[in-house]
Amino acid sequence: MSASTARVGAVIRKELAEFRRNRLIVVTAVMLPVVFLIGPTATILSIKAPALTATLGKRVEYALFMPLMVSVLVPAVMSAYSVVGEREQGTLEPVLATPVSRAELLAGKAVAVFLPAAVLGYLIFGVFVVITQLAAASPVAAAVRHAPQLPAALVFIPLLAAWAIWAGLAISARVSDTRVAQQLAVLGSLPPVALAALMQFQVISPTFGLAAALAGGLLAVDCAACLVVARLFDRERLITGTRPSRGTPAPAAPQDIRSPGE
Amino acid sequence: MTAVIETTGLGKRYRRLWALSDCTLSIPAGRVVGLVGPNGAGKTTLLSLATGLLAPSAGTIEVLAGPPPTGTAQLARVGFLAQGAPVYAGLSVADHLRLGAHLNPGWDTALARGRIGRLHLDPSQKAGTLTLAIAKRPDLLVLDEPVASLDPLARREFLADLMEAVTGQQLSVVLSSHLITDLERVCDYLIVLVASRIQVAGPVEELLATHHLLSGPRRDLATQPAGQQVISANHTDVQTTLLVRTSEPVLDPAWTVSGVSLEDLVLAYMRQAGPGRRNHHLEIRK
Repeated sequence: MSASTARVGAVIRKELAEFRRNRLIVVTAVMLPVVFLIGPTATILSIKAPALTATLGKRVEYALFMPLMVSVLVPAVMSAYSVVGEREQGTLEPVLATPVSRAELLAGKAVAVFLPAAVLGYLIFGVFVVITQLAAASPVAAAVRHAPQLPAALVFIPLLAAWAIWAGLAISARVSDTRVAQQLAVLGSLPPVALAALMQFQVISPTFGLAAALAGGLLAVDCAACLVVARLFDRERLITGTRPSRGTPAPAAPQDIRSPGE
Repeated sequence: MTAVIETTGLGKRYRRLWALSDCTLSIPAGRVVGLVGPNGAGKTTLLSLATGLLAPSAGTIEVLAGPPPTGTAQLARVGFLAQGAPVYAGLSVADHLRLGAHLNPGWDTALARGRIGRLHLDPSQKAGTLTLAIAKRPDLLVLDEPVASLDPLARREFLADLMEAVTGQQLSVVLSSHLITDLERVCDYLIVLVASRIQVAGPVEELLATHHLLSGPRRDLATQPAGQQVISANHTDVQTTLLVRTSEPVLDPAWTVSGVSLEDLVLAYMRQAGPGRRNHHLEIRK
């Protein structure tokens, strides 16, 4: 069955409208980027021009790592709500009773989270770079501009967001409480961040080749995770949160038909 | 006439609990079918199986002469109004109509807009959600307790609206409800489901014609003719009252024979299945 872009688009618009009315998601999507922008920006702007190279390097590493968290935490919280939120308000059955295929539903839900997450991630980096270039001391601004972590972060933003989305959707399809789903999704989305952190803090030297290899690895993991989540997007599992049970004989019918008064 | 829903030995199990067991049914097309039973009887499970939301654990089910709807073409032919008639709180009336139009290939925009405008509806109202289910132009409309939380006036309006839509579109409808008076008003086919099993199913007219209330001097039920199936029996010291099912006339002069109401009939089958049989049921988790 071929996917319909109209149906995927309808699911995306519906998801975005639902996110807008969810206070936790709105707060997460607005406050987290602000927090992860203010801290690193203040760190960079507070560096005095004649700072030691090592000190400057460490602060730039920190400043360029923190905004990456936005592209993980925001999609984790949003995607965790995506299925269990609908299950809680009872709207999953009506939408599953429409001719939307599970691939279209999955694609719609994933893209509806990916778009704002990626836009926010890049926006935070963009604003951070612009502010530091305009307001930081000249050597500090140059250090930010030429940091190898900057292009690496641009590559890792969508990859980390994708991982957080698959982790969030997988958890959301299995649990029955939105808050539990969101907490688990945040935890589940963090492992790839550790890899990015090793590179950002130069525990692993961020050469182009290594960054490309890690990005390729994360892309492969994202693809595998997509396939796993697609299997979880079974109508029955989405509604009940449990695996369908099939192929067992039903118990025998009661035999007597006389009234209980007999 | 072809069946809109046909099941054979249908069963559904959640872990170790059977929500529906050994269900064999054939619901003819063009009927308004009432599905009645106590909480936890398996009504929602049966409707979810019919709409392809759940897969059977045992037996088979055919909907509109095909497998339960899971593909685009089949799903387009079945309209579904879920329990509580949920809507998206974040979406406006126009958003709901747009969503319906994009998700359903057979969506009738004129019908939807006409109904919403004419009835001054908001999709958060039950009649509004009915519009969303009807405007996809289904062949079969499945309604899970659509009037449960409505006041009597709103219930009556909803059912009148439903009947108008049924007549206009020649729909087959299956609706579950606890409210037998409402079912009596709109249904011409009845299914009584108790303790995960079908107790009785058939055209309302036929069920009423074949069930009789017998009153007479107290007597042993063993003396009843073989063709009379006793559904319920009440005894006082001097009198016995039976509700029996038989296609033959009751000729015994000792009995005073009277007709039964749909409510008497349903309650008798619910008592017959009794609390002792409600040992392996489970309402679908929401």
